[in-house]
Amino acid sequence: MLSIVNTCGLLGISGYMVSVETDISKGLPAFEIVGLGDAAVKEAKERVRAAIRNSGFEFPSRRITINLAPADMKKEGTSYDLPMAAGILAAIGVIPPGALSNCVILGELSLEGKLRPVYGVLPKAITAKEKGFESIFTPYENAKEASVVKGIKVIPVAKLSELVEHFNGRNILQPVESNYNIFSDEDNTDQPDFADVKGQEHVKRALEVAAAGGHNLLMIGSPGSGKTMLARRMPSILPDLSFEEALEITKIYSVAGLLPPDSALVTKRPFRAPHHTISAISLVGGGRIPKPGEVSLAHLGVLFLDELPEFGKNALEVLRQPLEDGFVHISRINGSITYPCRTTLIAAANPCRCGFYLDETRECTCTQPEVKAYLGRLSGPLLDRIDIQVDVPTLKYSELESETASEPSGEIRKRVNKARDIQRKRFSQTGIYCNAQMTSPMVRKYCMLGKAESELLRDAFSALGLTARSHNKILKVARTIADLEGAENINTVHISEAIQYRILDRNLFM
Amino acid sequence: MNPDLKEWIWFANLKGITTRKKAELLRLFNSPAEIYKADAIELAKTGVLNRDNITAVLSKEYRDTVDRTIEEIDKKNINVITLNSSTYPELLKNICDPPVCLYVKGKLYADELSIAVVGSRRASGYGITVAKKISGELAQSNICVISGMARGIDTAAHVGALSVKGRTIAVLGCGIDLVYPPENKKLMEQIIEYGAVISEYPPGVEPAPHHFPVRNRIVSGMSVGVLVVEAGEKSGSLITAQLALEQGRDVYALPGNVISINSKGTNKLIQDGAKLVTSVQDILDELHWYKNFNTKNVHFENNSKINSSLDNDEKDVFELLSFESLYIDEIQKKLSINMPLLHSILLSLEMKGLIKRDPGGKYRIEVL
Repeated sequence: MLSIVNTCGLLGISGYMVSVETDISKGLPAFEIVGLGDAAVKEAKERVRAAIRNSGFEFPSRRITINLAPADMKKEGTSYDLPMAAGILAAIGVIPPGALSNCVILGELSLEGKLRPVYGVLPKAITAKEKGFESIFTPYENAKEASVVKGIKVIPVAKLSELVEHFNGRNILQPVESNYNIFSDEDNTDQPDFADVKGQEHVKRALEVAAAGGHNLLMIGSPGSGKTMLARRMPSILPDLSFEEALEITKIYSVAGLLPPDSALVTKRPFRAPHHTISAISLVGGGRIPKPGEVSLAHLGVLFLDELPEFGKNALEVLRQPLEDGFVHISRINGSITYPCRTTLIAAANPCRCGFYLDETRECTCTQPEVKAYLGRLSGPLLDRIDIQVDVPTLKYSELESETASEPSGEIRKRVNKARDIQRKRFSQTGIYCNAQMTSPMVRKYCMLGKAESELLRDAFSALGLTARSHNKILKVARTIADLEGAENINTVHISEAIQYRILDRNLFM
Repeated sequence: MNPDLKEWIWFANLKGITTRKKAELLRLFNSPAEIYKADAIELAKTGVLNRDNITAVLSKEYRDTVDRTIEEIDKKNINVITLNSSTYPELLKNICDPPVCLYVKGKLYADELSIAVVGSRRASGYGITVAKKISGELAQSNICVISGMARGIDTAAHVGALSVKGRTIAVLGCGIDLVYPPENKKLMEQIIEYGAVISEYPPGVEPAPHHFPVRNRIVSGMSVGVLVVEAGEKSGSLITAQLALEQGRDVYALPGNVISINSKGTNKLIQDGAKLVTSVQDILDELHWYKNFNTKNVHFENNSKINSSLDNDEKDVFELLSFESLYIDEIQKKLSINMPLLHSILLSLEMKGLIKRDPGGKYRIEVL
């Protein structure tokens, strides 16, 4: 007596098909699970046994062998509970054979026989659909998440006995309504908005440029100047999220187990602000069972690193490659996993250790060499990936009180969207999609300067003591500023503004 | 060369005897050579020295180290000017505790008219700009600018004087073969070329916190007046001002923003009666009393010339700015220019050398 149940495993943020083969034969009563399951899979034995018994069925006292195929890939988590229980019940004839061939089943069982939510349902549902399965059975709490996948019936299950009734044709379970269009009518009103930020116009402008060109940005300012508040509003001016992007973000959150129960899609761009004590592994991902790190959780959103100089040297070092490539590659003996991480890095730093170097009203207690050393920690390769550096002054009280309304994020986003459209068209054949990703040859091609502009740039380099590494960054940022204006060519105003965003290259902090 | 140089240096190097006691001894004994030869009874008779002092005078240790110091000053091309030397600054000679020896690199004159320009190490842009400007104008009026070559205002004072190739003297708190702060190496070379670097500490003595207040008495002692440009509430510059008063020198102070921590000390000085200085003329007015000083007409650069080379937007921005630095946001609000254009105007003004960007997104005027 053999039965086969289809379910899905997870590899990174994509799923793969696993068939749960159950064989019940004569012999001493035993229950074996093979196929490289982790501890949670091994323990499933006890849950399955109790759940079957407590659902009113008899647990066969014969020799039971379950194989999870492909047997050479590691399986983890509790989502194999339900398919194994269904497999045993099918093998003893409680579920009619043949009923299970066209569906995918997953879920964790309680001893009572009820279902508990699992993680990674969205990528699994996508895999099931791609493999041509008709329906997918998931725990109730995960149904909404799976329902965003178009073209597969998502059937929520509350307990094991329901599933048995369904397959015997007694109480047919109803699929949930497809949710793939939920995205468009979701409103974003609870997102923090730039309209709430008084003053700081030049920082807002810099953030707008960063959003428009996908540039990474560093803010330098005293504590309390509003760096965090400004960064938190960055997602609200990033270009509108497309359905595919939302799906990709949701996949990562689903795999990380961070999706709130009963939610369908992540419809907002993520904002991740890890504390500066974070380890390198938690930042980029990894661990024995590789999990996505903060940089992947910020995929298509904002990774905010407050107090950048306080982060561990190692953590910042490992961040370099993912920021450059847009993905994290984690290798393990039995295969490697890739998590995407196309994120905008917004970093903030105090100007000195005590933070009050630039403050007019509070006294800085650092010595001059200390001030120099503090930001000196930032220099080097990470700074090479930050195109825009801007200082954030402490606001005066009068500014906070002022009644002038600030521009809402929606208005800024419109301009950003327009600039991104121009870039998408420009780079349609090149495999990149925004100005920040341009390579040196592309910079030469797309950032042609006229005579006046080249002269200005040359003069600025000698007059302001800019370093050579600024050159391409200034051109890239100038390109974005021109795109924001809809201008074909870069002019002197664009170049000038871009030069103003290179404060750390200019030894102002001496 | 002074034939008694060895004894002078030996005498200057004696530790534990205050400079005041040394001055007293020199009056009693005529020259260090006689002190060198004196025995314990003679020394005790003076009533100036205590037992430890006498042990120091008689100890072999100090007598042995002198040769090494002499060797070093020869090797490093350092001049030693002793209290009895004809080039020892007149004004300094008359304070109650003049240094016995001065180690000098550069040229020192006995009767030079000098003004000290001192201030906070952590200076604001305002302080630095004004210190440079006034020092430059003092130097142009043939007045030597004396300062301590520390960071901030001191450096600005030297730079200001050097910018017009004027005389300037730096008084150090360490041996003059060392550079402190190290970033001023180049500046020190220039000061030696156009003026002098002096110290009462023999070569090789490292800077120490207690050296600087002692050094300050030389700064004020050599000058006819002390201008304090910026000083916090507990600034070392206030010590210099205090010493200047004790030595009978004029004290000038630059007024500042009442909120700024950098001007708390100077504003207090003005309240206490220091002369408020807004331009170099305020100092020059006080100097008519001094011999060999002829008032030259100090040359001011004219604003109108600068203005004519700017376009309208640039002119608006330039006229709005002052020595007090202004946030870019405030400029934008006052002139309602859009941010991208404002960035380019500011950059253009900065590249013309008319304004300066300070960290924190602030701008101020660089020239007058």
